[in-house]
Amino acid sequence: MSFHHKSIYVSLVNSIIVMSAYYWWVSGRYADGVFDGPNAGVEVGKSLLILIAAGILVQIIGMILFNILQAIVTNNANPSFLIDERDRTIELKALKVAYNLMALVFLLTIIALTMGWSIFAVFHILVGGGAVIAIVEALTQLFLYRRGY
Amino acid sequence: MGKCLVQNSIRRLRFDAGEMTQKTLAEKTGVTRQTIVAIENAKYAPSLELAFLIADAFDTPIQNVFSYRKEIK
Repeated sequence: MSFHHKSIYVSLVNSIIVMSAYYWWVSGRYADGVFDGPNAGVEVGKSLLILIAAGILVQIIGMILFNILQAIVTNNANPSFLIDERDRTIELKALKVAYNLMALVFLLTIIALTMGWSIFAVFHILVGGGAVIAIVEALTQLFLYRRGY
Repeated sequence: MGKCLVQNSIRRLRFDAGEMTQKTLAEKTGVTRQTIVAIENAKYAPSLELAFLIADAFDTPIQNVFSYRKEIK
């Protein structure tokens, strides 16, 4: 299993951890009524910024831990980070799937807007859609690696 | 893309080259061992550049490494 192949598992786990934690946190705030009233847009914006920051932080920590773990397990302090043409082909194929899904999520968001849904709901269709897309993209890559290309 | 129609003789050429390992071939061509495995099992058709690099690693013309099998309908 190449470095790139392994790192997909790390990204997948990170995405699931971050999104689960985010929705658990946001559902608590939603129940407290934070997203009601005139400041709803500001609170949604703050939540999303925290999500982005936490996502980057978890991804960095996850990759560091993964590299340390890999060095210990393989007993190789200088593992190969080589990404070749097959890795890039697989990445591009998965990206194509992700873009198509993104178009669908965007369409759903527009429909939600025209139906008069709240800013909170609309933004969380985008965020939830983004999480599903990240997971589907990772699973697509894993499927392609298993198939060969 | 359906079944890979590009066939190869990499396994035989590795044997002829003193049982060259997939890892060694991967290092010579600048790809991962997994890519060599995928090519050898005809699951992945390499780029023209990589095909030439593989042929060069065995010091043989490209047609001795890769061949194209026409799909029978």
